[in-house]
Amino acid sequence: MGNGMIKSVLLVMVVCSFARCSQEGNVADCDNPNKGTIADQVPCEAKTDDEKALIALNAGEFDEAIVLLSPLIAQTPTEYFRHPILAAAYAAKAQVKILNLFQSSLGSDGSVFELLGGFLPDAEARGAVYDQDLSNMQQAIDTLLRVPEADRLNTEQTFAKSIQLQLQLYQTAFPVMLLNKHVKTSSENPEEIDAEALEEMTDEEADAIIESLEVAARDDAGGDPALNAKIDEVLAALETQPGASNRERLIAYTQSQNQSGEGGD
Amino acid sequence: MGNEAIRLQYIAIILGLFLNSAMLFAKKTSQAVYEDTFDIGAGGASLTMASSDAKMFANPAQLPYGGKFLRWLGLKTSFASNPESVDLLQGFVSGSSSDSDESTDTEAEGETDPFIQQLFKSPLHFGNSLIMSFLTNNGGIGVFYRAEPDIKIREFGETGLPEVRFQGEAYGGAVASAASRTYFRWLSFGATAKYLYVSEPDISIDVGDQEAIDNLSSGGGRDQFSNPSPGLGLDVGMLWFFQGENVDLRIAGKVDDLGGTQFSGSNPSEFKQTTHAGVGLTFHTAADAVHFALDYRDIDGVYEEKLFKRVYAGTKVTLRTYLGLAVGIYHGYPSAAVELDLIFLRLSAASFTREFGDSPGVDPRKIYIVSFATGFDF
Repeated sequence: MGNGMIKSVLLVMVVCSFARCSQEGNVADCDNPNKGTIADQVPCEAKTDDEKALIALNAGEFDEAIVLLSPLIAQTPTEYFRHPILAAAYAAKAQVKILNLFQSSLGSDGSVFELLGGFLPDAEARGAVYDQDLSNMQQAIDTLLRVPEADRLNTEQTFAKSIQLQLQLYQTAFPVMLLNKHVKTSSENPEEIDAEALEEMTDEEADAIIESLEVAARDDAGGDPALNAKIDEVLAALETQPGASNRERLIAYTQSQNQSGEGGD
Repeated sequence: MGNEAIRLQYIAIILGLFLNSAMLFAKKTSQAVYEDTFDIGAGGASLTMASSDAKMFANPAQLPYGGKFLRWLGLKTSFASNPESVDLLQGFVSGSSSDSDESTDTEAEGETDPFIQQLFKSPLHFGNSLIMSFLTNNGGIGVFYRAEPDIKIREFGETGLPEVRFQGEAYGGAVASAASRTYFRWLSFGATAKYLYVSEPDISIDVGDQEAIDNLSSGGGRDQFSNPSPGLGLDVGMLWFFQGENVDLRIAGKVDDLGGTQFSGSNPSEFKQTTHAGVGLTFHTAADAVHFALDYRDIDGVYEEKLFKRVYAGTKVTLRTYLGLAVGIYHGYPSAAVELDLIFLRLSAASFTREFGDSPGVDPRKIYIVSFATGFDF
């Protein structure tokens, strides 16, 4: 075999090697559509559903994450590490992201409604979808509450702190979202609240708002103490409002906050 | 104020982890503690043919093959980074010095700080290694250091909360190898004794977990990073080398950390004994060569890695001894390298992807490495 022939063979081998190795992605990834014909012969390694769920969640594919996690939880309901992840997916689907809520809680000024208001979905902008956002938010809370309290408070579990913090944030965000359903700007003056819309709040909704805030502020529920204090401030302020019912006091409080220039400074 | 505060929160976590990481992070798997840049570009398949000083780590039984008695005396340093890290650090510097109006604008819109947004998309990954070594036909000695931290932030972590995860690999120490052909010229054995300093943190912190953040900043929290554990270990290898006029066949076997390498600390406490096998086929003329290699590491699955992380394959082409090209499959992803041997200076550059997750495509890092070696290649 002459040197010229050998060099030709070498050149062909090099070109083929470079060409084959120019394929993108992982040759062992079952989900890689660009594996190439040779890589198709390589046994692939599939991601677990838990891995897929986290990837989907971080890619903003919340429905996909929910579809993956729900049957896993149904199959192994006592493996509680999936519950806070599923709750985060429901909350994100409700346009409520923990990162945004966390940013707001770092601020020290303003009531809890003012703090969270800027990071929650805009009820007016969301329109008819807003009720679905509320439903997803409730799903997030219910998912976390399915974990027994003893496990939620067991800080030796890696997921316990996440459950405590998420529960507090969502149980605070949910009443604010309920209230925002009725807090609409006046068509005559954009800086004023539409009083008629506010009056549409029912007693049941007002009771649900107050009850959620009280649950979120429980000292024995874990969560951020600073946020607990903010919620206590609101509850205390509500007690001083005129009115015989939660609904009347809540309406009075909302109107008083608007008149004092909420969130402006 | 919110965006600035959260930026500072993230920075505190990252700096707290990095500044406390003088010799931290090492997640020992089936890979050698030190790999040559060109070998990485060739898919990391180095059991049958490794580059110069990497022979001591890849398979010391390779040392007796090569002709001259004196092989190499020199120094090599490498720098590694993922492509996004440079941009990220530039963004961090420019973001910290930007005027307050920009921060206020994003804050008013309820949006996350752009720098933090970028951190969520692109992990920080960089590294450095240094080795001084002397090689002969029958052995070698070397002193080395390799450190490679990785920091990733994601909006939804393992517990559903925003998470900062710090991983890393740091190895340092000294190695001494001895090797010899047997009565059968095609069979050689070799061994590498190694005294290592290792630290292996793999830490995930939920951004909302103030207690964990405070602990990280405390003296007790820093201790887990800054106390590498020493240990003494032994690798043994063998090589069957069937040399023909234009075609060579190599078959390698190696046992890393014979009997287990024990460390005085708890993180890690031990490197487990692992067994590897490799095969290589070389087509060559008098001056040029193409080497195909396939390694199967951790045959017994001691570290419980999936197959795609234990199979390494690649091709090296050497032209006239001063130019080398390599391609390969590293952790299932394509890799490539180029090397220039300019007598007293050897330059190498490689591109590869490393999978940090347990399955392909979960958490890959594309990494670029450049290395500079200077010394005497006898």
